Amino acid sequence: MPSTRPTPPCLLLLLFVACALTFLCLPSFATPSTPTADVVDGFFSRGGHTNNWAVLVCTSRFWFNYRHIANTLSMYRTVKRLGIPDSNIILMLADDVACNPRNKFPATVFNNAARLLDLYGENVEVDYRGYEVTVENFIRMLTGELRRWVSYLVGCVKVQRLGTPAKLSSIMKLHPQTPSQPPLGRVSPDTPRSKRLLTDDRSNIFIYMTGHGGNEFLKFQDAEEISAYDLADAFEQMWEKRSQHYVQPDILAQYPFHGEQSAGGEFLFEVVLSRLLSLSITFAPQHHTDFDIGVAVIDSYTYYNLEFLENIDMSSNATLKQLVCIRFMRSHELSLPMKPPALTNSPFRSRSLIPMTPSRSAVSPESATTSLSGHWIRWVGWESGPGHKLTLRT
Amino acid sequence: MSPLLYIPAFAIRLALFHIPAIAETLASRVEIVTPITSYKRLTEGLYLFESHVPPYDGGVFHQSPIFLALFQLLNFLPSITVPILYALTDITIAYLLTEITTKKQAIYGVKPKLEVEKGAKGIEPWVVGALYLFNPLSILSCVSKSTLIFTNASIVLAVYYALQGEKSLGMFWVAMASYLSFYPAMLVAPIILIILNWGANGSTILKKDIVLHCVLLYATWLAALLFLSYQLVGSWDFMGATYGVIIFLSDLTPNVGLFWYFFIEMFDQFRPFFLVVFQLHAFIFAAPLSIKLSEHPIFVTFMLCGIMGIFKSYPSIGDAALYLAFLPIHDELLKYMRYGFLTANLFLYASTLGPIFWHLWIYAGSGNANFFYAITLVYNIGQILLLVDVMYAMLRRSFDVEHPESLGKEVVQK
Amino acid sequence: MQLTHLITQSIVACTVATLAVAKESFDEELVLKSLADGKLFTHFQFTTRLDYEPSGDALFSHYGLFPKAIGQIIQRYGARELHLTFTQGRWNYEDWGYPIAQSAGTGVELWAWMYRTESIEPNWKALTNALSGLFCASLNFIDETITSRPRMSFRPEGFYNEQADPMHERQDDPSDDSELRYGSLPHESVCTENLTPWIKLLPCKAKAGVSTLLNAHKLYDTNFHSMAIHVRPVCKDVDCNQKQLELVQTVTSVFDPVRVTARREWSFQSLFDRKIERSCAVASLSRVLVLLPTITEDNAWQIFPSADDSMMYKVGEETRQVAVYDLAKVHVPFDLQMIWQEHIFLFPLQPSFPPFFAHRYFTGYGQERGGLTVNIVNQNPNETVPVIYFDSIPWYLKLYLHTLKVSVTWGQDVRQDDLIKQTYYQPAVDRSRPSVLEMWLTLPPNSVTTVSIEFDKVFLKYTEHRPDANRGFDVG
Repeated sequence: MPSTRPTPPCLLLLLFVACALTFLCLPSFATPSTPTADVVDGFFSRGGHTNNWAVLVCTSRFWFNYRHIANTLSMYRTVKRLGIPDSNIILMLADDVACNPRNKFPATVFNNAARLLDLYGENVEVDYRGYEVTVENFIRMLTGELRRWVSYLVGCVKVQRLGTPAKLSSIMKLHPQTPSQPPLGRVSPDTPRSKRLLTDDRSNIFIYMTGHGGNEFLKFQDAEEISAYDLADAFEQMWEKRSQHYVQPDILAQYPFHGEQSAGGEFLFEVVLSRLLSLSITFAPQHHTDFDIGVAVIDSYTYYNLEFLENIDMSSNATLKQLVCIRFMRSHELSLPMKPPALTNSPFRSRSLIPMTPSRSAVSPESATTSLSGHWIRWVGWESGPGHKLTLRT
Repeated sequence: MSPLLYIPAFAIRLALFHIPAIAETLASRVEIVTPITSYKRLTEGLYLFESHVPPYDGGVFHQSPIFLALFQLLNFLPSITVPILYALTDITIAYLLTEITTKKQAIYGVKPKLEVEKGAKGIEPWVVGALYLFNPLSILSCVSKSTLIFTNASIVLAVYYALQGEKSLGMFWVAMASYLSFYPAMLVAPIILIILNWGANGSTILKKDIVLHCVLLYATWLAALLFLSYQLVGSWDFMGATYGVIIFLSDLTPNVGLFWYFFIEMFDQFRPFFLVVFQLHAFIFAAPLSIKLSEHPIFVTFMLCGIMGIFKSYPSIGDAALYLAFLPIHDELLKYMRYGFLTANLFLYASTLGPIFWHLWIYAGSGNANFFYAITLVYNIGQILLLVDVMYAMLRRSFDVEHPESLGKEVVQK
Repeated sequence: MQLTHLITQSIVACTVATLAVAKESFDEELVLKSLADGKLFTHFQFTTRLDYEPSGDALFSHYGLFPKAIGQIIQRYGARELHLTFTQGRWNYEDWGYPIAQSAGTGVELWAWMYRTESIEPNWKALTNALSGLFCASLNFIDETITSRPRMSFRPEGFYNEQADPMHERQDDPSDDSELRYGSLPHESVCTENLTPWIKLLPCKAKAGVSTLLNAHKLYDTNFHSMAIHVRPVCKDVDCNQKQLELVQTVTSVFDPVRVTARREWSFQSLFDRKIERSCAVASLSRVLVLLPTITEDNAWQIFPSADDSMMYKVGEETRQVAVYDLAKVHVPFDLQMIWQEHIFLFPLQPSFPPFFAHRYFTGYGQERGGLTVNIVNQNPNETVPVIYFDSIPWYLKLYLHTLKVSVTWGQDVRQDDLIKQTYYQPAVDRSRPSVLEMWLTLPPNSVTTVSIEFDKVFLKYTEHRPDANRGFDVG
């Protein structure tokens, strides 16, 4: 005789459905007073990250793109100065300008016409150089390492990195039941450690890419492009593989025609954001030329960044908001025909301001108001769920 | 009539062989020689073979081992032997063509004809030979010492012996042609048809048995040739280096064909798919043509030679010389052809602009691959137009012979 | 200050004591030589030797002076000998004679004798990747499409073969347990990021001794610079009872003081922008050698400070005097300078050809075919010189061996069969391996021998072109 009482699995199912409905019916995160916003705030301020990484990519080749290499090396210097060691930095330079026969000052790279600071210095470590800087290598490096949660009957073993056989053998000593598995990951097993992005789910990663590009793409070395979707997919994979805590990619793309708008005067930028916390795509022209070297030495975006960053050190409490304000101020000096972007359809706002220096947590989402003056396009998103699309019109 | 024909042709060829500027230029033109028929590569392969370096180990030599044996023997003779061999092969092809024409006219003489054809004499057989011998394409191909001439000779020999009813020799020469060049394997069908229709005169053997017999003969001869090659070079490397290159297009040197441009710009993940498509396309016409035109197997041979000349992986103008030689045999079709002027112009246009654009691309640096490929496309369009036109002529004439009242009227299929 | 000095010295003494137990030694030398056309040849050489047993699992368990990075790489990937060179510039044989260390072509050249095991190919691949990570160079591009295995050209330089005759037939070669792998990347650039890890392999790094002079800003402003690392097993004594692993690091460069001041004067400050502040305490031998110019006119040149010691150095028929400075004894900071009493340097009108050199160039035009020609000059008036010519041509040039011509274009006429004693040729396979051509030639005295061969240029797939396709490919 069938029982009329609902069975325990049914009860669980009902409970789950009820929770889901409650969750979905919650008001949007836009209201600051909801407890959800506090949860989100709390997420950022709880920290828990243990290491910082930086991926600095220059995608342009040839002597006249000196400024892109100077940009990347400026960021490299800044990142090193503020505490990230060489072992945690992946530097990709598509061409060698320091020892280029056209360089009047060998083994140096300057980002300023006054030539006060040699960015190359004595201690630069270039991980991927020349023809190695390709889209394939970049994506493989980002998504290459595989992390795994492995649990056994004898206890939980959190395996941080399964990239090298040495680690596997040490695990096997603890738990002999571990089946032997070949090393996994998308990078070749011979790849040296300095070329691997060995992040985990407690890492903050700063990604800086500079080069020529346009609407939804960045050009790699005149031969190929990386599209915004590829990048978004890579970040999604990194989250899936628990290889990042949160990521602030900072992409400087050069418009080929400085200051002009794309055809139609309007462009759409859609990026699938699942775990991406903040993405800024900035289109900026070159800043100034050094007439002895003969080419432009820095781009305005990086120039203004450095103006701020050079004045802080590892103990600073500066926030990203202050950085952006400086950028806003400076952008008025450049009268560019680009219209200010209007953030439509943006339910995302952040109230928490986290310090920028790596000793706390690296870069963070910052306050993005609905109307941004100047030509910076910056918007913020966070864990609203996978697959949410944002449309930005400018 | 024959000596008057052959001696000038022989003389022209020998004279051109002895002008080094012409002979060397032609031997290196991509329209005339391809990586699988180049004499320079044959010399290299022979040199490696004699120096005890495996000739098929590297990426230079892609021709059959039988050439190694042949040319190694010829090395012992004075150097004039090689030009004489090439010229004689051309003469042989011309002679065989005249014989084939005679035989064909005898066979078609008893078949139903159109009113206008009754009483009119067909083309003189020596004219067919002369058209081949004095065709600039065949002269250029001969003087360039392209080894395609041996494949062409094998095909013509196969048709000749099939018409004579010699099953064994006919299949041997088809096997030789497909051993040398791979694509003539599709000619097995029309050759068997020739043997069936006209070769086995008065024989009481069942048709089925003849076909089986021929296929077995073909397989046996082919196996024998392959085994002989294995003995010559001592390993099976040659299979990958010869047929592997033809099928998988390992060498992307430009030629007058369609393959090289596609496969230069293709991404690697699509290569296997498109290789299958392209190679299948070359072979796919054999069955329909043989079925539809089983009454006219010489014509099928001609059509398939034309298909081969366009859609094989490394075609050259020597392939065109071959099927253009078969064309005047069916002179009764010429009056039905509609696009003669256009086709002739396309051929002329492509022949003139091809070398110019090649020079612009490779030497002047002011053109690019698209220039040259466009001209080869024009050339191929001319060839395809010719084949389509002749096909129409054949079908229309067959219809007109059966329905004489439709002469001159437009025929529409309901 | 005194206390710091005392502490430093005691630490050093302890280190030296430990090292004495581990039996390591470190020498460093700097050689300077004026060249005929006013340039200055400098050669830094750092030699570290470590006693070891070649067999057994634990090859090294203790790293003192010998760098751990190199030791681990050699041990892990089964490399018996390793030679890696980073060069930029062309060594001008006509004006500069011969370099002290073995020279290499532009770019990166790597060859290694690898122990013959089943995993020799994966080991070679892993070795190139590990070195690429260590030296920040794209050595990982040396894969099977670039790697070649010459038969005659390279000999193992380690023990067993030091007394071997290079021209002998290799019948019972003790290097039967190892195979040679050679690869070169002519287009590789050399910059500070390659020098920095190289310097970190030295015991004193860039802080003391001769290596303090290695200033990238000045080093990469030279006409020619070449940085190398050579690892090989050697014997400590004649009977080879004790084996050692020797690591030699060299930097060779050719400075041009005339470009800056129109005179040949030089000093450490003007060349390297630095002086030697202190000597490397762990070095058992640390010295600077100056090969003094052969001009004997009074006061044509002067050297400051004057040498502690001098010795004679024989080069062919010539004997030159060498000024020797022991860095342990000189007065620091040590700035060596040479002053020439001339208003302006006058370039010599005649180049001073060395007895033997070669010149290689391409012939032909267009993108379809071409030719390769090498002129080998033997200026010895009486000697017939045996020479092994080795060339590794990439797969995208299809060589035609039957077009190989070797002939004497200036000098006594010799038949091709008499010129070539032995040939080894391995044809290239498209996209798989390069061509290898090795010839043992005997060059008649006072002659110019020309080797020429034709090739076809392969038509590459769209994706096989480099990003800067207009530049083309570098071939050696």
